[in-house]
Amino acid sequence: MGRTTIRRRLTLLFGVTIALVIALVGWLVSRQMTREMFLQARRAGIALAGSMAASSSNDFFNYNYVGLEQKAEEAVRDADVAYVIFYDKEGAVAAFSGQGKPDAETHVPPLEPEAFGGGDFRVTDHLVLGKETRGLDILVAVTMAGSGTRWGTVRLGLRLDAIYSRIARTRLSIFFLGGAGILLGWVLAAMFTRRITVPLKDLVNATVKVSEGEYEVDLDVRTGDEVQDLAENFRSMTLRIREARQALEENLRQIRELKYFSDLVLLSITDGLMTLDGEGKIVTFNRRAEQVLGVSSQAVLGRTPGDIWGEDSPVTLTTREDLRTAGAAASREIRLAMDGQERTIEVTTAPIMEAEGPAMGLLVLFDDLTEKKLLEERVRRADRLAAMGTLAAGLAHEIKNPLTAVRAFVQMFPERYGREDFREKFGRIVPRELDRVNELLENLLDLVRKPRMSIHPVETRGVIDHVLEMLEPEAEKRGIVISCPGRESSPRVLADESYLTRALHNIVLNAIQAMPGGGRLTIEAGAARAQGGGRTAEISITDTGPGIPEGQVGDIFNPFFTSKEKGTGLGLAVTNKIIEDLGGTVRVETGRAVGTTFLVTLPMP
Amino acid sequence: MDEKKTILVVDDNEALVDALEMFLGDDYLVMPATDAYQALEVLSRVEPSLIFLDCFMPGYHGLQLLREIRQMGLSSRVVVITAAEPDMVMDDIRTLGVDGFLPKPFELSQIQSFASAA
Repeated sequence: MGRTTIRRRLTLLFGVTIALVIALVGWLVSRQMTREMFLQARRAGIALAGSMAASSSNDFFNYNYVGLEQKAEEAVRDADVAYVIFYDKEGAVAAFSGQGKPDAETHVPPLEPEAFGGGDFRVTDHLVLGKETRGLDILVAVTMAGSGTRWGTVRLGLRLDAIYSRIARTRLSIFFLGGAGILLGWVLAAMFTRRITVPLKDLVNATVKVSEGEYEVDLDVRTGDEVQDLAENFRSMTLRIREARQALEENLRQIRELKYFSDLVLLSITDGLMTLDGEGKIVTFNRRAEQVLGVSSQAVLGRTPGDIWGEDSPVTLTTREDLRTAGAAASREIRLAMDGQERTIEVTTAPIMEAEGPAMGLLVLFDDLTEKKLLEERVRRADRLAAMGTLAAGLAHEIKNPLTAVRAFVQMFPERYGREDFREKFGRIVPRELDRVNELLENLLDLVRKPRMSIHPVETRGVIDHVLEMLEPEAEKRGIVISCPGRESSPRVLADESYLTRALHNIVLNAIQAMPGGGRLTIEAGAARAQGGGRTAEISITDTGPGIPEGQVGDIFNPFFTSKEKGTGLGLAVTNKIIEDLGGTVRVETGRAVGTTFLVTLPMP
Repeated sequence: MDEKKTILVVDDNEALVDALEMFLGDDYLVMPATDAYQALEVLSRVEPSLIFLDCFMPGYHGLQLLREIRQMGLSSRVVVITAAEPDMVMDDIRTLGVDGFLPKPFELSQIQSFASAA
């Protein structure tokens, strides 16, 4: 690390402080010691000079200058004494420890009695005594005991070399001791700071690991102080982060799975599916949508329909309008020119929204109806042709039969005109057959032309009675039992009486003919449940015949469809037409075991 | 001289049965039938030389009757007369085998030639 670490800073701070303190202490100690030594030397010098002055007073008194000389020479035998000079009371040199002139030898100035006045002694410090020798120059007055008379002066030069060297030695010791102290202090400071910073560094490493996403922190700090607290807090914090992170990852995994699944669902939907966000940008575009609209999802995602299909495209206009209004789901057919072919596409849109609040986007489903439309058209055409074929074949069959009979009679006419029985048959059969053709054509026309009905309230009871009256012989012939439960409470309906009679006649005739070996015919009329706005009545005609085969139920109202030995196949077709024109419906319920029931529903007044 | 030949006419159109009865009645014994049941009743009593059979009576009873006539092993000649489109019945007729086929409307002379050939 290029930065100054806490450890380095602390070490520096402690080290420098210790060094400064030790240096200051060393300096103070050495100063004090120097001062003490000088004081001691000075005191010793003064004492020596004093004792010499005391011992020399007799010699001064007796003018025994030789004695003084001896004393001086004896004194300088001490290595610390540089010189000894005795001055008489006039200040002249009485005795000198050296050989020559004291001034030259000692480099001390001559005594000036004025300067050394009344005092006992005088000390001159740091006097340079000869070559590289420093010392003290001490003057002490020589007086007689008991009298203040001054007899002379003792001048003593005391060498301080020894003291200086002692001072130097002491200073050196102090210097070395101080250095050792500083070194030791530095080491202690380093150790101390290490003790603080190592757990900190561990913590820092741990935070680095955590920041790199590694949450397995192995942090063992036992300093017993705030750092340990910090480490423990940090550990529990990472533990909690790890748990939260695991929970988050699990959630994320589930969300991803769900999204993957829903993406697959969207992709697999067989309708073309597109979703837009609130700004009209395409968010989803599934495979089928790619096929229907002929563009890849990469090309459309994140863009608006206007970008892709142009501002005037029906896709753009539809989705934009529906996104704006956010109304209920709506379907419409649009036409798109694709590869030079016009395609019909059903577009269903629904706003994407929560129960409350504004639309967050638009869901758009595409269904390509082109093939379906073509197929429908083809089927319709085929149905029309098939229906026309059946109609033509049925019509031909029904006309050819009477035509053949009439033709035969006409052909026999010239030959057999004279015969009574022929004339009788001719007159009876030929008009009847021609009427049959006419009736057939009338029935056929009834199916297509607008009926002239006069609709008013009609008693169903009366109509049913009339029909049964007409058909009773037919029923009796086959041994059919007719019952009309609830005949008294039969409702009134809105209808044209003659048309309704015809319609019911056809149904009842059918029922009778369906039971050639006898059976039971039940006719019942009653008010039915209200349908739509108005009340309706229902007339049911039930036979106990064999029922209608399953595959033929859908055909029974088609013209010329018949399963009877006699019949044109127009009866039920006409009936259906009449009931529909009256605003009612005809339904059939049939089964092999239960026979057939026709249910005619008509409006009530 | 010999006995009159018997001819069975089966057609749901009574007028045509009447016409054929009138046309053939002088020279043949004509047995009329307007549905398959009547025809079977006649066939249970007599074995006609010739049968004129409308094979397209509603409900396909004509073809069914033809099938039963064939099963009865009668020696009668069968001529199918029909108002239906020939191709609607031809396949069945061919399978069952008939002696003649007359689509309606027909000439009386054609009836006559089938009757005399019987």
